[in-house]
Amino acid sequence: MPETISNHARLGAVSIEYLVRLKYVVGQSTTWSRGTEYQAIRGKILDVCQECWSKLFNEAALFRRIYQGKTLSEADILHLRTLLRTTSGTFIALHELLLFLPRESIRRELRDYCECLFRPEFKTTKISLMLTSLFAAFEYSLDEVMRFLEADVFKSKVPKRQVLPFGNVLELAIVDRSNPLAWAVLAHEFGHYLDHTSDITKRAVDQFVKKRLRGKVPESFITAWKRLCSEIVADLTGYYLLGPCSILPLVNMSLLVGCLRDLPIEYDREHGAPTTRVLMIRKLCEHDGIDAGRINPLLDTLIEEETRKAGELPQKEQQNRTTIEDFLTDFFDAVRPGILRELKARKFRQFTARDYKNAESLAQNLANGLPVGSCRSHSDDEVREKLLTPRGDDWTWARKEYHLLTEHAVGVGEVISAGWIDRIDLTADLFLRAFSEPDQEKAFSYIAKRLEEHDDLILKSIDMIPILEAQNAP
Amino acid sequence: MLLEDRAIIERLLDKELKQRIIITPLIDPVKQIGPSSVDVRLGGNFTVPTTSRLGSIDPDKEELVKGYTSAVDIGHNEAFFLHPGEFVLASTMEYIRVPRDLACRIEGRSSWGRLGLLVHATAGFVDPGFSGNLTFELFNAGRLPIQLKPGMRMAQLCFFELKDFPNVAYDQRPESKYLNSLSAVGSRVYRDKLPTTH
Repeated sequence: MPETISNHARLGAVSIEYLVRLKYVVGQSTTWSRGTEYQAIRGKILDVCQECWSKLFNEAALFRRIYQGKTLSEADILHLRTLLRTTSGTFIALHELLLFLPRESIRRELRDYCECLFRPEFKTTKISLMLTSLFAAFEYSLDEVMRFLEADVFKSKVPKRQVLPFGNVLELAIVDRSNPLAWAVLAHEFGHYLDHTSDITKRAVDQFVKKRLRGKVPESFITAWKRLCSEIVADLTGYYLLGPCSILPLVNMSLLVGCLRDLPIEYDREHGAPTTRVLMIRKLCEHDGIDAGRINPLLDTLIEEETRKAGELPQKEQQNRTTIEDFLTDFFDAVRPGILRELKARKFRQFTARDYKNAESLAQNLANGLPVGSCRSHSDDEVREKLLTPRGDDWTWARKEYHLLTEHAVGVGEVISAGWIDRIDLTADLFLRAFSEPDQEKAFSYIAKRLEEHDDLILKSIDMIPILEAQNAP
Repeated sequence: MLLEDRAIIERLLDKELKQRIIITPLIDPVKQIGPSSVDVRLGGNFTVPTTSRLGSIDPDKEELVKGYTSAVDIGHNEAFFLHPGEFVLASTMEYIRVPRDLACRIEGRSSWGRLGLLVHATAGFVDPGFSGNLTFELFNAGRLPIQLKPGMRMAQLCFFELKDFPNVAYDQRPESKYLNSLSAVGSRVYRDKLPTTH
């Protein structure tokens, strides 16, 4: 197995995983399986997925070479990119189609995950969780939706004020219902919720204007900065709670969308570009002493892909992008300390360099097929030394040392990070084995089964945490 | 030979992963480790019989067997009410791995037995090489409902050393039906009729 795999291998892994998950989700949906009225649509979706998968499996030899780390010819690369464009396009189209059909509710573990990560703010407020589109998965306030609609029907039918507010909604893509690693994106969305309810952005931009700019600033500038800042608040919240892995769902999504484009992903008016966001996370890691080497291959793939595409833009556009990037970096540096101060003032558990180190050890347990919701404070050697070294013939003293075996709950951030690290590590093995299967059904089942096992272990780990915390509580 | 506490601890800390007994999470080892056993706790996943659409169980028919039970999950601060005469499946909170040179038995705890709660109906034996969350077959033989809460110490595991490694351990048999189960899994008796795989 090669120690490092190419960007092409990572790109392939992202697109194929999305397709496999979609086919699996549609095939397993209990909401649909109850009624025969959806079977025609379900059958069609599965057929299209199958067709796409067949095209991929027809190129099993090419994929084996990719995951063996062999060098590809120009023609191979072109062929691969065409294949992945089809895969990504098919997946995205089918996923958006699911929006028009009944869908399942979130998993119970997702609520546990949110309670553990966002406490106590999550418990004390009304936040709903739902599954939705791949592109419209964001946070919003239902009260704002009502105000925005301004429809007469709402004016007359709105309940009495004392039952308001309706609360906020965090959304997740349908395909990610059972994929806990993708739930990392909710930390970003929760940042928007915090911002919504406590105006972090407003204060940060006010400070920025006050410190950096003297004289009158056009309102349009302030509005634009607020949009950018609100995304920085969300990204920082994600990082504060989950560490560098908080950015990985965005990276995966950008790689998926990137497969469809010859041009780099544009800088929009809110988020900047995915690459700038990755660079900001890297900067934060450097500042906090987090060596995120194990997730770097995925980050590098995005940066290199986007840089390659940007390099093909006309000189003037490249210059524009550099100017925007420089402004964003500067703006980020300016607003970051104030936002972090506000986050620190809340009762969150901050993800630290130590958590990341622990996540790396937990990733090894995951690789060994073990759940990772808990760990001991003492090393095996230390416990062996204290518990198994004889002190004469009498061993009754040993019971007093049993506490050394105690396991305590780890943070959700550690579980998710361990999951990402292990998932990135197993990519080559997973796809090389799958594309070595004798037929496409077996290859598909192999990927689906391994992903499901991986998800289940992480879900089980998340499931354990609140029980453990309740048991460990004084 | 039944392992005593010290031998169990040695196995919990074995340097070789394959030789190691895994019971995780071990929340309160002082209470959980007995002279020759380790207590295990109740998890939050239950599987309850749903009989309204079934006349009987044909063990050969996968759909019928699968349709006999449905999952009920409860949160860490909730309780599951097991009424007199009711039978449900639940699982250990702990993930268990039994090395290939050991076998294991799951036994009820006297404190629950005295309330009429049985933790397994027939399947108290755990094969060498098993890994996953063990399934409890809970039956309330008492006269009052019992509130079951995740994290309760429900049963105890005891370990037996085999004379030698078996030819084929549970994790090496393709027919193993409950390997790596992480929650209360309903019966897979329908798989018994499948042809033997080598």
